[in-house]
Amino acid sequence: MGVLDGRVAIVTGTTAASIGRACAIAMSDAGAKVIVTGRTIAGGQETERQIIERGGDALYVRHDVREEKDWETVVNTCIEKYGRLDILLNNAGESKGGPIETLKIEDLHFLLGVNVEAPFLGAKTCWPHLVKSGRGVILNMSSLTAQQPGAGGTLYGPSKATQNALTRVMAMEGADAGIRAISVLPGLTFTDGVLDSLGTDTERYKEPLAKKIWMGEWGKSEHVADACVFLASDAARYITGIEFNVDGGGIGQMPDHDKTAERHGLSS
Amino acid sequence: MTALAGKIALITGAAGDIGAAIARRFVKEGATVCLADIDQDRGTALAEELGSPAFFISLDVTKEEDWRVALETLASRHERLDILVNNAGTLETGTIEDTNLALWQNIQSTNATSTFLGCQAAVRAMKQTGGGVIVNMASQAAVRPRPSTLAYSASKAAIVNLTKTVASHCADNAYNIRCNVMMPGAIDTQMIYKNQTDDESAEEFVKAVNARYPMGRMGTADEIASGVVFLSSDESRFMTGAQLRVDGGGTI
Repeated sequence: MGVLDGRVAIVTGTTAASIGRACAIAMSDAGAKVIVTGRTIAGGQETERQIIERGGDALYVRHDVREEKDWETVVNTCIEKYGRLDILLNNAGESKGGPIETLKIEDLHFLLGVNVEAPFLGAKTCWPHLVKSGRGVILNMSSLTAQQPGAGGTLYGPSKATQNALTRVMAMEGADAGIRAISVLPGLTFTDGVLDSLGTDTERYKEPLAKKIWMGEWGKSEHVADACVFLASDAARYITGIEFNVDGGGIGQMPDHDKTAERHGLSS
Repeated sequence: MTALAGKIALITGAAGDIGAAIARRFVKEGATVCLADIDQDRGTALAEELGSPAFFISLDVTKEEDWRVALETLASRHERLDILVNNAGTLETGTIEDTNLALWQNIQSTNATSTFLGCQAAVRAMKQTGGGVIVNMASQAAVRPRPSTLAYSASKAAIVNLTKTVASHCADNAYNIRCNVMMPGAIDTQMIYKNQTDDESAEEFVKAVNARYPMGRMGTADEIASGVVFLSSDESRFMTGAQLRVDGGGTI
């Protein structure tokens, strides 16, 4: 018996070997049927394939989270195929770093589009179905960098902090409608996205960055996925409106980084 | 369900409403549970109810000597401690104007000093046996204090801070000990009724408390137990120094 038996979830941003795919797989393993979405067809189909191969029930739907009509297609498909919707995981997100003086206003608009407008559109489109569920849950994938600058790209943090405020609004309104809404804040998590942004420097930066994490290791997508299953389940039925960190304790602010590195056997 | 299969756990304040709910869930999840409390009658009754995976020990959490004996008992019976839930605590009301020093000291001692002693005893024991998990019990009051719970709120804020420092130290030294803190909102237990004033009925009090929560109700002890199970299990293995708010939206 899984903790999400009988539930139907929509998970966005599932096309890469990253947090979204891990969350979709974990929710399926816990008993949920899952609509997996994203822009890259091959990646989305791969997520669908992996879930079905594990004995789960999933369907990929192509989805640009900034497009309201795409949201309508996703939700309509979900209701047609599975007849209900209980969980919305707004996982799709984008990051943008660099010194402030080099960034353009368009960069901020872009980030607010993906990280704030999209969860808003998702909540808006899914809302009536989540109300009908009677135990609707919205999980918005945020980031440690919303609380702590320097933990991610320059404008990424502000966009995620804005998203957190939006999540609290969803929680406040949702409390009257039986919908819970929670921000999930991963710390440094080793995903395809990290590999893309670090590129050939990955090996050079991987260990020095791990040293800065309290627990001395990078987060894994599965760590975040386990938390999302818990938060979506009835075990978390009195939890709403919070920021839920899955970050190995956080980054930096340690009394002695070199000592930490030595204890964890990471000294170079 | 066996999220805690084979784990050895110590729960303080186990005879209270929330402590007992945690103990029942821990046993269901496969843990062996040491029920620690100063209330012998309720403690032994709970141990009888839970059967062989549970046993009662008398523990005054404010006494260092009691902690030493408790850890020795665990070491002799089970050779280790995997999970410590510092749940014991007390509530007495009073504003800045009518809280006397004795009340302040009693609350700090029962809530904050006891958590310090528990963390210290657990870290010393767990680092010898390869690690473990500590879950401390703070409160929404730590971040959203009310005028009438001055000493209580301050003691709970101390627990939040202590949790982070213990988590940081254990991570820094690679002890494989995680330390996190629960932040319950108003939970429907006997303790909550200490907030009831003389000029309101129980019904009026409950209605007023419920109205303070976006979800429109108090939480249940079992809902807190769910959070403690999660923080004690491998599902939260990348979390340390974290606050888990189970408060029906009370801190939005």
